Amino acid sequence: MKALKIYARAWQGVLKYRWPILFLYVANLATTFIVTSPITFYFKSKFERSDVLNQKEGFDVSMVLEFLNNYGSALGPMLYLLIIVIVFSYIFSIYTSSAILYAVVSNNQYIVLRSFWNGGLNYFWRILRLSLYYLITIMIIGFVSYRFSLFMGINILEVHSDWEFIQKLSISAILFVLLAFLVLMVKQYAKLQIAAYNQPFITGAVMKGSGFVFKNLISAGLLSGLNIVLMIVAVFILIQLRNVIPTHLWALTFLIAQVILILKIAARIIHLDSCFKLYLDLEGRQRTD
Amino acid sequence: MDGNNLLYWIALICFANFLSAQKVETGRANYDIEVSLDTRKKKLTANSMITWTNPSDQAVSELQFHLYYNAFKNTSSTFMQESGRFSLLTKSLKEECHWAFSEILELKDEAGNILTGEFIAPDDGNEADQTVYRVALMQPVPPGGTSKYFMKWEAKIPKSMVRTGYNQDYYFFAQWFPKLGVYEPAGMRYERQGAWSCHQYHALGEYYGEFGDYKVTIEIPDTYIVGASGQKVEEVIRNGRKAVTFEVKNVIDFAWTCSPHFQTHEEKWQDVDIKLFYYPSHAKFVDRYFTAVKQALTYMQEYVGNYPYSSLTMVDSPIHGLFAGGMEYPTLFSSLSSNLLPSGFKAPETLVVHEFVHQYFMQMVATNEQEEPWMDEGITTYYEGRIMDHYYGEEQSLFQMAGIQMGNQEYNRYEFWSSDNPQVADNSFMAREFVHGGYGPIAYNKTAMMLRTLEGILSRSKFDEIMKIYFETWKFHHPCGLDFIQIFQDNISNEYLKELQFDLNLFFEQALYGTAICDYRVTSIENENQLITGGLSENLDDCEPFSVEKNKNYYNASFVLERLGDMILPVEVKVEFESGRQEFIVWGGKERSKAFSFSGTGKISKVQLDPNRKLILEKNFIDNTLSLEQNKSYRKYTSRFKVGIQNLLDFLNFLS
Ligand SMILES: [Zn+2]
Repeated sequence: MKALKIYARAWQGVLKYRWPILFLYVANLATTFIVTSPITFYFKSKFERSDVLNQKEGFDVSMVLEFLNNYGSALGPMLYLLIIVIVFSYIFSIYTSSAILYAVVSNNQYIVLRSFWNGGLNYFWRILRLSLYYLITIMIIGFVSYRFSLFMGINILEVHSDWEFIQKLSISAILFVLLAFLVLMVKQYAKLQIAAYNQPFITGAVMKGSGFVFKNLISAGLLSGLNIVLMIVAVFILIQLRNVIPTHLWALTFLIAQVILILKIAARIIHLDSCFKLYLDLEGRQRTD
Repeated sequence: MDGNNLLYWIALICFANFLSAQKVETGRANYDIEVSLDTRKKKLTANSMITWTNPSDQAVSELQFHLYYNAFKNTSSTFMQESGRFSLLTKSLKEECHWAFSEILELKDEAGNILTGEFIAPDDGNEADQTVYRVALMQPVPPGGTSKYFMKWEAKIPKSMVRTGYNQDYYFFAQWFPKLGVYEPAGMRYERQGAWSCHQYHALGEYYGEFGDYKVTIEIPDTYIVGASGQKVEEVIRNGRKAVTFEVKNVIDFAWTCSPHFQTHEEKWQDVDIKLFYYPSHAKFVDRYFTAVKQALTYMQEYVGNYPYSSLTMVDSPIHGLFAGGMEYPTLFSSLSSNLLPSGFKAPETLVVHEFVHQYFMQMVATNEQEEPWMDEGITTYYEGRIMDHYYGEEQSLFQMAGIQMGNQEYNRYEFWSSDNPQVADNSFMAREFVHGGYGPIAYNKTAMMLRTLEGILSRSKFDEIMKIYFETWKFHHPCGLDFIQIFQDNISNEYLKELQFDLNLFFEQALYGTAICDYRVTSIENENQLITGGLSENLDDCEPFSVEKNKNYYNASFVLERLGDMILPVEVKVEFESGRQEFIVWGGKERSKAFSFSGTGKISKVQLDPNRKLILEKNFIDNTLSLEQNKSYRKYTSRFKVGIQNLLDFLNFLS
């Protein structure tokens, strides 16, 4: 219950992060426009004088495929741009992650953009290393889950029914999700270690972070779980609304998607903020015990 | 019919009328088989009595049998050589020695003479291939005569092979018995002289069989449940074994399946007993099977012809038996369903409908699948699309889930145009000749698109009328492609074709036996403000004042159409004017580019080629319309794409 309270309290203070949230949203929007413009202009040039898209009500996959069949070869270079931008965006996300971390542990009343900006530089290299460790770990977990599913026998020619296949596949998937969730939590508290105690080495931070997670598995798990559920609900709402809102009201759907994106950005910051509060609370209590 | 000479085919199309094609009577091959399944040794032991009638006016001195299971006897068989792609299934055979074979132990004629023979490889001369067995007769079968043969044979069953075999305790028997090829007398399928059509077993392309009556008694462990072609007429249980007898008349093949896990469900449609064999975990698909098959029965009866048999058996293959799923045999077909697929995905319905339509095209209209695969797969795919779109919606009949959807025929078109090279082959190719791809895209998809285009040009009612004639004329016979074409030639008047500006022969030449691409577009629209002459002419008295008012709306409006592909088809054009007026034109489509102009009609706002989407062979629908007004609907797609990228970029933050 403590986790719930802390999470709610963190959301109450969401406004203090308004500038970082706005900055992150604008950065996302700008990058999106840069990377999608060549493709959308190209798409527009082929369709703006045609009315094939009007001939069908909903989202007409067949006309998208028609576009790809006839004009798809030109998309190659544009997709390269997309991949390059994604790589840069990943590096930029390391920067913003460390900025968020700085903002969270600074305990300032308000986070001005300048301090947020400076904060990014503070932990950049350490967060980069942490992120790479994280990616490698996730890959290892993926591989282990895959091997595990093979070990259980998910060969379609060997199972008796597709239910058996689904069960075995689900067990592997659950294994993967649980392990990945655990690693995600460790990454979260390792970050706090880096910032709050200015840990110079990643391994130390990861050890301490893991120690905390395992010691307080229920509270930490509940907090992270809450955050993930919130994200899932947001995405679910978007999908549901998209099904309900007629496709010609695309602007409305787009607007709702923006609100949900802002909410997701806020939730990411609030999650770290609440983890930090939980950490202080639990570690503080243990120290007094 | 041999050979893949395009000019030969084209000449035949043009002269088909004069070649006095004959609807030659088929032979008959009746089988009375008693077979016993050994589930421990994975073997079949059997006695067959074969009664063969010679359809020709010449004596026949040899028989040719298919021994399909020998395709799985070694790695050098033609089937194994050609089927590298099926490595998932052939793996167990190669690595675990699950080799299979079919062996004739003894063959006698009515007089008791022991007959012997040899393996031949008529298609590729491959000596290691033992899938065709030629037997020399002591007494030739006289013209129109009937002879009986008695055969003892055994077969080792392959494990998880394409279309047939066993896995765990699921068995599916197709091409399981030594089966006569088809003796084609002179005149049948434009054959110049009588000969056996008995192809080796190939990786691509399926079967061709003679019509006959089957009585098959299957002996299996009594815990097994058996389903087969035809009706069950007797069941005897003795000493832990049961013998079940099935009978079916006037079919080209016989297939059966058994497993101790089968559940069955039966329903009736008119006089047809429909039965489904399925595993317990698939009970929820029973309704979907029966709904789809009844829809297909109703539709085919209305638009093609009657289903004359009293039984129809469906088999829902279990997941470990998917190697045999989605196959068609007389009065029995197998399909697939999966708990892994979302319910919005209509794969089981599509397969049920497709395999059922094969009862008409390749079973009743018994074409040669190995030589002309388009005649069964293509025509079947065409009706599959029509039935699926009719009952499940043109835009949803393939899938409808998570806010996106697609129709069966739309997907069919996409499959063709997205294939590596849509011009890699044409439909004069035999199945095994599609060596560089194109078997699926051309024999299945392109044929279906060709038929939809033909239907569009002729009108659906005319097309249906001709297909009914085709079915009635050729059911229980062996037509070839030219017989199909000839039905169209004979049943459409020249006046009708002239009115449509449609060259039927050129159409089959280009769309069926050619690789021409159909691609038209609207290139430009021009609205030029024209001045009505005013001012002085030769005589001063004729001076006409220039009228601004009169000239304001006087335009010379024109547009240009282009033919980018080689295929020539009549094209309907819809022209819309700013005033709301509409004009319809039919262009013969021959010229590479053609301008059309209108005077005094005001500005053209939009030109639409093929407004009713009749030319399904068209490569690009997008440039078939040109409108001067900017259309904003693309935004519903680009905005969704942007949101997708936004979320992708946002997701990167999870990694850092
Ligand atoms: Zn088929």
